[in-house]
Amino acid sequence: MSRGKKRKRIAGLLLAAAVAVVSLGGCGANGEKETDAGSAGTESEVSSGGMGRYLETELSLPEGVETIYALAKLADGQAAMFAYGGGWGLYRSEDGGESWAKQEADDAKLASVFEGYMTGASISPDGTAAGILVDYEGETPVAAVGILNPDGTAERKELILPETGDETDAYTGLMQKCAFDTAGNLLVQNLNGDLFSVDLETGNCTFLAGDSSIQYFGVAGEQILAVTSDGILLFDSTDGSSLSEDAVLSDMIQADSSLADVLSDFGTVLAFARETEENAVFYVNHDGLFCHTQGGSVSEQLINGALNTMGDSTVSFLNLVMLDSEHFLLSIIDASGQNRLLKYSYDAQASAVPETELRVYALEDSSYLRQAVSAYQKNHQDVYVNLEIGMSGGDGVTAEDAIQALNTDILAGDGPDVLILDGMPADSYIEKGVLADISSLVQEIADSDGVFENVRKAYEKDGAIYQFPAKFYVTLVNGTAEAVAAGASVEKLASYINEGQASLTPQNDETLLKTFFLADSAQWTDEEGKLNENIIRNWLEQLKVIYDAGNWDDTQQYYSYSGGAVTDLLGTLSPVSVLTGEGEVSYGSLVDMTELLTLAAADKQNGMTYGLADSDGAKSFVPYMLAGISSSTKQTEAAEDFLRTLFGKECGSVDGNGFPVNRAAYDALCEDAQSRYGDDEGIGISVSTDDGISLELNLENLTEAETAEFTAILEQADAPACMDRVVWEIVLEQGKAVLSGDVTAEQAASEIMQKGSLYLAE
Amino acid sequence: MRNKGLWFVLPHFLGVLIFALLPFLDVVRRSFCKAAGGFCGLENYIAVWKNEAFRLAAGNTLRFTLVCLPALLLLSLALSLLLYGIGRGGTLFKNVFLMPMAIPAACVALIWRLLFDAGGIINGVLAAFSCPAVDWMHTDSAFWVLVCSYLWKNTGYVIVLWLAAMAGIPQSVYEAARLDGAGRAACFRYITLPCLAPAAYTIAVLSFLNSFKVFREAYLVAGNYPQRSIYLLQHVFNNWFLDLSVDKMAAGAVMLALFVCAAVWALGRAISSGPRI
Repeated sequence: MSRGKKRKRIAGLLLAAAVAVVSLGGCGANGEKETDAGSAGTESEVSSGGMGRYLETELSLPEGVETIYALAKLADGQAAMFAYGGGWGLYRSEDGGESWAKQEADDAKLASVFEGYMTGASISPDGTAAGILVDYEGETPVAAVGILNPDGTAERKELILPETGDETDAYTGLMQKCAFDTAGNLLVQNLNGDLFSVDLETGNCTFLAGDSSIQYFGVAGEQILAVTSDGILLFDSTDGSSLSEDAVLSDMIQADSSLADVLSDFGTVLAFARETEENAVFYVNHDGLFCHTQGGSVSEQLINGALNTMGDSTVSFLNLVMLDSEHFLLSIIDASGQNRLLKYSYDAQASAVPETELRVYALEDSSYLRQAVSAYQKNHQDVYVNLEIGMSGGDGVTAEDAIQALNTDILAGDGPDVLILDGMPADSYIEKGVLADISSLVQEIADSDGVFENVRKAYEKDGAIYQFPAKFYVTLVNGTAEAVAAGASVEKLASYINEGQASLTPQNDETLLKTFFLADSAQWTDEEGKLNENIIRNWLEQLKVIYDAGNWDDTQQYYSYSGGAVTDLLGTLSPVSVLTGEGEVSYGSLVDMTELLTLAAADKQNGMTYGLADSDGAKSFVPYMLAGISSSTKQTEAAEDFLRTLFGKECGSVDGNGFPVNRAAYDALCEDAQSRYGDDEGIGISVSTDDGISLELNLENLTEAETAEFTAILEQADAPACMDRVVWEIVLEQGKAVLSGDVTAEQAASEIMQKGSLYLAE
Repeated sequence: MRNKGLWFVLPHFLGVLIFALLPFLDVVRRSFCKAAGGFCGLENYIAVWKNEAFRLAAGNTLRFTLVCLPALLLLSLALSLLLYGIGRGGTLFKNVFLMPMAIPAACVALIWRLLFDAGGIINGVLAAFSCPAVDWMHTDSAFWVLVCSYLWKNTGYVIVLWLAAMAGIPQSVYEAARLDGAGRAACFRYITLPCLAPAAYTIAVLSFLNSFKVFREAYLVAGNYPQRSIYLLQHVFNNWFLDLSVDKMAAGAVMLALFVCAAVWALGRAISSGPRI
């Protein structure tokens, strides 16, 4: 071979090697994980480096203010807020919301002008506040507008709607939203999706535009942005003429139709700022705050929702105001129903993306977790919480797939910093040293706020705590005193029911199995961790008796539960069914204080009582939001801070998802339950059954004795229920076969033992 | 150039080295370490050997291999001899036998369910003849269902391998033997079988390795915890990974690799000591 040919070959080989090395290197460099930041049609700034970011601060509301009805920027540059707090008032701020001064007005006059049910309010650029008031007393709702003028005078005008030909249409007068445009025109929208312009002098309404699919609207400059479930319709606010559709805005709605929903608190998950800048519209949703130049192909993300309260899926938005290009005000309603005012200010010195990243992993998404992330983010703006959800839903990923992927990351040294262990093999992770000891953190919370000691003891292992729940709930039995006594164990309950003394309130097979599984399964294994076949067989036999006695309609879905992870919260206790006579005994879980109010009210009304389903000595509880810190994390401090938030009073005192392990949060919930209805005698609600039986139930404040009684029950529960996903799936499969009569309890127990023993032997 | 062929082998060897041999060395290292880190000697091997689930799975896997491998080799050899005798007309049959290979494992699992469910087609047929229904998937019958599935899926492929090997035997050898008065049986005994020996080794090793793939069907039909008789080694490894029991997985994998190497070596020895032409 000639020297030239040899040289060419060597050069060729080197080139091939270089290409291989470059391509392998290229694969690794871009191996970034997918996070939940950003969405279709948006241009995120999160990935870019550099400096400059909007930082969030929470502003104090003026003293006494409880509800923010409207927020705006006035023509003179001041911020204005129309709010209620024992009385109506317009508040002005010259320092961007930091301090507020109430406008002088006659409080008694305001009370009479704004009397009624206010469905919406707005402030015009000149400082006129208007509120839409709906009177439900008549056959058809009548709407009026209350006006508070800049000089402090107030007046009320009944809205005079144009003739529609159908005067009995209740929705025509049911106004649900109003807004001033920049020219000072007041626009209102009724439930039919009709938009009107209101003459404040006369109350005359002029029809502008309408579409039955319009859910709500926003105003940007002199444009109406009417949100429908399919997109956003644009109209000119001065004459109602239709404007050409903006594809980016409509695509946003089509990608997430929940953006079009009006929530029960009148908030929305999409809000527009009235202020515009060079044909650009500003809007906020849970992804963040965006600027969209109309006709442009993308929206620019100015603020990443994942870094602050905007990303909290439990909050709804009320008003967005752009004070100037570096300052925004946002009023929201949080999960506890409180109105809050947030300010976003641009800080050129802050890094565009927080330099510290805290990775939090959970198998399933939850509003509680989102709320905790948001609460943490608010106080730690130098940390970016990257929330990774294993089963995001819709992509067919099973729990097993997700855990395998997580384990691969952990083994590769690329695991998350904080693990939410619901549905995960937590015991195995503890055994393998994946989780760090968080006992000092738990002790710190116990010292400051207090914790349910029975729960803490249940998670102590040789003096260490590797996992700890933020919330927990228990299984209760509700009925007569005899029924409650019988409900102490599945065997006694089955015997009680079999003797014809009572029947259980309707449940489907899966709910029944799960409810009793969570109450009883803590007793199924011996000290060596082996399953006890006799106990399981007996349990299945008793459940079969209870199920057969119920004679329920299998085709009916009595509760929303339909399979899924063992950690699903149920709320299956149904005191209302006992009250309406659908069954004499109810057995199930109670997951928040609101349900306890219902239980107490129902029991008072029909002389029933309740107790812990203690399974003959086994007093189990169901943990929720079990969390731990990875032993290999480099962000120990940030991870501990996150758990302080997760287990803290602020997150725990939001009612729902079980009862907080944090004692201060629990006490706050008890106090709320004791004073929820003020000094009133409570509220009456109507309950009805499928059979048409209708009853009135009077919800009242709980007494101290009632909360103490329930607290004592929570304090008794000392063993976590078996939360093992594999065991649950095996029991569910066999249990359903037993209830349907396909196999005997003996055969099913044998099958459970065989599969379960294999699992435990592994 | 004398070692020209090495250049062709080298890229593949590098691939095997980087993606199989070096990672396996890490597996060997991990097999002597605790899951949480730290050397533990033979502790993992002892734990795995004492593990009831592993022993059951290893026994089932061995039993499955011992039943399936001879059955597959003999059945496919017999069928390929028949097809070889038919000549060109055997192409259609060959294609029919190959069809199961083209069916994805997920479809095979679906067919299983249709056939072997308590209310499935086979029990329907049995009922038509007044025979009692069989719980195929929840009794030891599940093992034989798995065996049949393996044979059904792999026979066509092995037939093709046998036929290729048969095509390589020179016809002149048979003609010379017939001139010497050898009958069909003698030709098969003294010419065909010895000539197929090198191919038999390759076919046996491939079939042996393919027998591990039957896990896919078993897993898709019965999940992580199937009936005891079809609980295979891959079930254990899969479940251990879910549990992050890397220590046990590594020790089990090393033991399995040693067993496979020993079995392949023994197979090679057995075949090389067989009849020669």
